[in-house]
Amino acid sequence: MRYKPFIRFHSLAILYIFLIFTGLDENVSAQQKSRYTVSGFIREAGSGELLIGVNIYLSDHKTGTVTNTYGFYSLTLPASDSVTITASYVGYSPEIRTIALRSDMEMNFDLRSDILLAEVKVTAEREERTSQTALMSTIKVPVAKVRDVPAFLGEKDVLKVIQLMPGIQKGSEGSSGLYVRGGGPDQNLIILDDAIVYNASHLFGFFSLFNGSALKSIELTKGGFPARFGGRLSSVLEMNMKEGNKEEWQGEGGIGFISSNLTVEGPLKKNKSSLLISGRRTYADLFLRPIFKLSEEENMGYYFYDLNAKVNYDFGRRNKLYISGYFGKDKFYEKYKSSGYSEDVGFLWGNATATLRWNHLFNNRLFSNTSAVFSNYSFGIYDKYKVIEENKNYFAEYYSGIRDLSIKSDFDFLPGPEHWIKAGITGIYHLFKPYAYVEVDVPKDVNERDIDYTEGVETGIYLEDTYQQSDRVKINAGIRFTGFFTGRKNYFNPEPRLTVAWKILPDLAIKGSYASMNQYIHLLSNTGISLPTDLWVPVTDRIKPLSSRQVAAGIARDIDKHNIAISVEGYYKTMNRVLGYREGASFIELMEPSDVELPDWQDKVTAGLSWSYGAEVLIQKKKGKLTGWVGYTLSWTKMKFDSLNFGREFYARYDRRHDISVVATYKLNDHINISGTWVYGTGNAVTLPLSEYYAPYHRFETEIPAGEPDFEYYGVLYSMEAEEYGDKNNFRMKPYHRLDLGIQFHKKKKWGERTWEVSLYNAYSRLNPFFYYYDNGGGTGRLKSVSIFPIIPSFSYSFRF
Amino acid sequence: MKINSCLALIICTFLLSCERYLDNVELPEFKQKLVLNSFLSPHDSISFISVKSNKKLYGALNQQEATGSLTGILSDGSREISLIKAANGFTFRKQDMLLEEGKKYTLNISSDKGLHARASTIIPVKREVKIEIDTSRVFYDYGINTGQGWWELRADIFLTDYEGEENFYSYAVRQVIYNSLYPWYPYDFSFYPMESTVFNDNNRDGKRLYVSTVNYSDVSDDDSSNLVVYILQTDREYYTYHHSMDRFTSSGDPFTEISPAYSNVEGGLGIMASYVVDSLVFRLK
Repeated sequence: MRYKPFIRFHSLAILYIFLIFTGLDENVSAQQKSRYTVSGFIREAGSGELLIGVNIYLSDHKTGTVTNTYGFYSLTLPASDSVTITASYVGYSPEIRTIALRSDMEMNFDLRSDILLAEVKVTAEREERTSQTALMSTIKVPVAKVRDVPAFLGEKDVLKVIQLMPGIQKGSEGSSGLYVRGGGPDQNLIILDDAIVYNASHLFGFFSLFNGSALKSIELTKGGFPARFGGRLSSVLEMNMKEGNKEEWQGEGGIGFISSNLTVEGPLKKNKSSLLISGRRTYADLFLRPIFKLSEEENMGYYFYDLNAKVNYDFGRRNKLYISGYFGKDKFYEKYKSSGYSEDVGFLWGNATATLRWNHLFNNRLFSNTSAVFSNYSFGIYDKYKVIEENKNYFAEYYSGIRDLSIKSDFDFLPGPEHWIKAGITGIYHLFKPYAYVEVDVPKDVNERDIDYTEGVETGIYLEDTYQQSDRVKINAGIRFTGFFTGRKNYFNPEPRLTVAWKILPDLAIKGSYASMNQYIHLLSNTGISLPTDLWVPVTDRIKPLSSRQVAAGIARDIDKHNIAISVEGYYKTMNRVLGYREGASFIELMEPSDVELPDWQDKVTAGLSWSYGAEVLIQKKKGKLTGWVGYTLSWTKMKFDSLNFGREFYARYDRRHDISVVATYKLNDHINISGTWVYGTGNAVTLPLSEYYAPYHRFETEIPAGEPDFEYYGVLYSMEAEEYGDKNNFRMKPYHRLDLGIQFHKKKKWGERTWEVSLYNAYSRLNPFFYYYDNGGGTGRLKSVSIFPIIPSFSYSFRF
Repeated sequence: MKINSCLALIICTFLLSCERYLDNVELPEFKQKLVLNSFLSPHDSISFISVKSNKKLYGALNQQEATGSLTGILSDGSREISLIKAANGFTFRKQDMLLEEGKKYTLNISSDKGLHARASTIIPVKREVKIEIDTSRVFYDYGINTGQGWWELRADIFLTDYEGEENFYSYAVRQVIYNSLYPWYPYDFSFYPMESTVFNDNNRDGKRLYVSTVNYSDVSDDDSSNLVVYILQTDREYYTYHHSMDRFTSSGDPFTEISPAYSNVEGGLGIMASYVVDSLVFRLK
């Protein structure tokens, strides 16, 4: 009943989309009898894995398209006796076919990986190039690159690789949080197989959840958002899991410094159905047990694990079904056991997602995907106490989290090479649990449950078209309507989007974009590091949705001769009603479950303005012995809150004037790869005291004592030494820079291939500041810098079979 | 076990935090400033302006910064007076400069060290706020019916905000106890506020406002007692300063947003603010 207006609106919207597509399709069919459609799926030879973003190019027509997220493509062309179609993809040998197009036809491609064709050096004739696409501010990270880049403690980490791209910064040393074009880490929509992942890190942010072995594609959009994306202000990180090899069983695994992982995939029914399972677990708790074992009776530890699984079934050309899931948990525990009693206390937190997807091909021009998604994040503190002799139990637990149930449908309609129309609808039911407390005390007959639930429904509907207006001009235009229903208040916002690419030379394009975004849920986090206590909360009557407007302009150039792509972009982004923490608010409150107090979170936050502008340069070399990129970002991020810094504007903590990353991988020979990354960033902005002074709190006095009163006490309730501060974030920490090096030794074995990797994190042991604090020991006032990671060597062993 | 222990030791060695002094970093330069503190009210027959110097935070901290020889002038826009030197600042008497509601007063303090500080306040206009009070008293016994224990006296204070303007308030509560048996009575003590004493009419313009305070005492053998409630109608500066003091947090905790104390002193630090007083006497016994 409460959601009736939304249901009615979106039912009409679905009907409207369907009518548009049906009408368009009939119209196209009627008008274009002399045009025929060639469509199909593009797979990886040997595994049957559908490939995303494969370029389909028709050299005769100088036009083309790319495969969608499910490997599908469609091209409608005039009838012809000879059409030459090239399918090409980075890391794969291109395939060229010439056909006579006299009727609609299905044509599937199976592309062979360059790795499988090691001895055959083929260069793709034509690939989707930076200067060709209508999109801007979009980064595709090859999964293979995640494996090549040296990593902290050898743990390959998708988010850490993304942090090396221009426009994207990390918050603090080791953190996997993303700060995209001046936005906070809660402004990134992280999607794994259509499921939203709310807390994307393990071990307080040092490692991300995403196990590269199970991933097929990684794409980050930081501006010029197509209308299909929405829900966050600053970026969309879309990741898709591999489907699993449909032809043969294979696997890969790794044994690292702190964890091991194993991925197994193979056919359940050859060429019809496959299964992929990938898992990872740390074993630091096992090694650290001797140290953490505080006494014979007491020990403590920490571990995390994650598990990805995916099953799919191919019912034929028209229908495909996918079921995928992610499950991960972190646990920190302390156990005590004596002859009298035992106690087990700890924190545990984790994500779980499950996605059911159905691909349906209505006809060779209309493709749809419908997903039903479950996503859950929870954090808990527990205390189990048992009096052994009397067999009396006490149990208390505090927990918080967010749970989503969502349904979305997306349609791809390709009436001809000039248009790629996408439309879709999404509805997410959010269940927020900002606070829940459960206490069971059997001896005292206590059975208490105090649970605070908040629910909300988030909706979105969009229509976008990628329109090839001419050989030179390509446009992506769309609109998204978003809404949020809190139960007491409805929010509804239109979000227009536009990107225009104008190719002024065959390999040089000028691009411009505009995007309007809204965000209806917020992350209440501490100031700078990712903790499991971070809470997702919705908009309310008092807390309005965040909104942003972003314009960007840039040039993109491909230098084919050297396999180099260059892009330069400038952007200006405003963000309204951004949440910040009220001065004095602290979020580090890990206590006993029964001591947890959660005052109304709305009282801890304040809303204000933020704006960011800057320029980004990305020079990429995607092929050859030497691959990698150089990224440079020049940016400014400022904020203004009525109740922070006395209403004056200030630089954001993560405002970073210069940010440089250099990533290089050199293939010395077939057995040895050398890689290195070097990063440099202007120091974080922090607030430092300038001096201290006497500050009294006034007390009203009714009478003046005889003689001259002691004004240190008279009229003073209490006094303190207050610190004088300039503007908020008035001081820069020392610049951050670091060099990581890695070397991989590959060797073919009878059963497959093994790789030894040795890496050095922070090779020249730069003591980068994590935070500063003031110290006046010995009568001298000084700043102390705390660094957490000096040089850290690691080695790992990985294998494929 | 040996291998495990060695590995654990290696991991811990590398993960140990590195802490060091920053000796080669350009720290904020110390600028000496005069620190003024003054809360003026027409209620006072003598007013006081505290003047001190701020202190260095970096480098050798063993020497106090002296303010030097000070001169102070108070102006109401049409007339100026020289302030009288006192132990930690200046004073002036009502008869030297009458403080009037709605009028702006400006302090100028200078030192022979070349330091200057200037601040202003506009004395609020006293409004009728209809103070009301509601009390409750509970006795807590130390044991069971020992008769020994403490009293909790709770005072709920209500006032009606003056509509159509932004208003800021503070309050104080005093209890006066009378007992003819003891020569030192009447005994007079102030409630120590458990929370902030300042509040405003934000989103409550023209409405009934409420604050509550509690006092604990072992005094019970009184003949009679009165509760006196003082409502201070303050300027915005008074409110902002005290509100910032309530929330003050320093840079000691890296995970907490710093909340500095507010200052309205040009060229210096501290606060110059003002208030007018209304009161209500409530007979408890």
